[in-house]
Amino acid sequence: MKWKPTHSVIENANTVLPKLAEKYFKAGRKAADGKRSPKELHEFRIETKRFRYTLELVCPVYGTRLEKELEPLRGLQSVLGKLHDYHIIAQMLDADPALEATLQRRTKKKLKEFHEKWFEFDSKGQLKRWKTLLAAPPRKSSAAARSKRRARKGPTEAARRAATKLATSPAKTTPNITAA
Amino acid sequence: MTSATPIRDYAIDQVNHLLTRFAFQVHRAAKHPGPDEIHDLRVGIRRFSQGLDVFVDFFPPWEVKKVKKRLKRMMKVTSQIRDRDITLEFLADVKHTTHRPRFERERAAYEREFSEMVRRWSARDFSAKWRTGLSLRCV
Repeated sequence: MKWKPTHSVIENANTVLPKLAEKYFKAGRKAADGKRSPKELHEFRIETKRFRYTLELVCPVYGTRLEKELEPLRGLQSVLGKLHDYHIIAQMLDADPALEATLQRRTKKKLKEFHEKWFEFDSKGQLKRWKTLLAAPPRKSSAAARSKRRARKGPTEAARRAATKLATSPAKTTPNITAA
Repeated sequence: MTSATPIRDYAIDQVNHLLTRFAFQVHRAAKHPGPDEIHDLRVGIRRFSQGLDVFVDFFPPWEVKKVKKRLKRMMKVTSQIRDRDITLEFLADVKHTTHRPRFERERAAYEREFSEMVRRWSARDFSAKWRTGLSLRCV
């Protein structure tokens, strides 16, 4: 990844991450075409991990809106992890037909689950939405945004009334302390 | 750290944090190398390694290479343990007992190898050494 050392973290992330998302979606589409070997699916699993861990590295600057988006990635990673586990177990238990049949059944089920999850993740407009999210500057905190909005609008009706009342009421003075 | 933090400071802070977490996972797995501890350690290795990959521009290349080589070695030993763990879990799930003793024996052998590796790493205070090598103390 090419970072610009003179720029801030968010300026860099806004430039680099949308491209990374595009690359990840491309790899996912290839992995989910139904023609991939267990090894290729394992490579995509590693790619999913890398994509997720990279996003988690910058999560503090994007905040909760990015955190929420990571959940489907965790789901994909989990299904791909199970698929890889079954592949490893099959290698470890070489030449046991009864166990092999069970593994094949489970693998088939997980493969179907992977395709469903991927097509949900990559449904219409999702890549565009990801790219927009990653290219967007961080939102101000809600309290800061509220006070900025208030300042733009000017004082509210209640605040205006309170100010008028304060101006017309006699000024409060400190009580006279007469010397005894 | 805010979004306006310079990328270099942010990278150093994140990698520092990942190394701390990784060192914690190593010591945890050394005390009790159970399936969960080994799994968490492998996640820690992957995260730390990814942190180094992503922010490679901000660290001495030779040191990054050295650290990654060590991480790869630990990943290799723990992957042998993890493979046996998932197989044993599967065998327990399908209530199959014939192959269990072999995998348990193999796991114990790799566990010894792992413990020996951690002992050597700890004797050299690996996390302090890596922190110095990667110039992480400046944050």
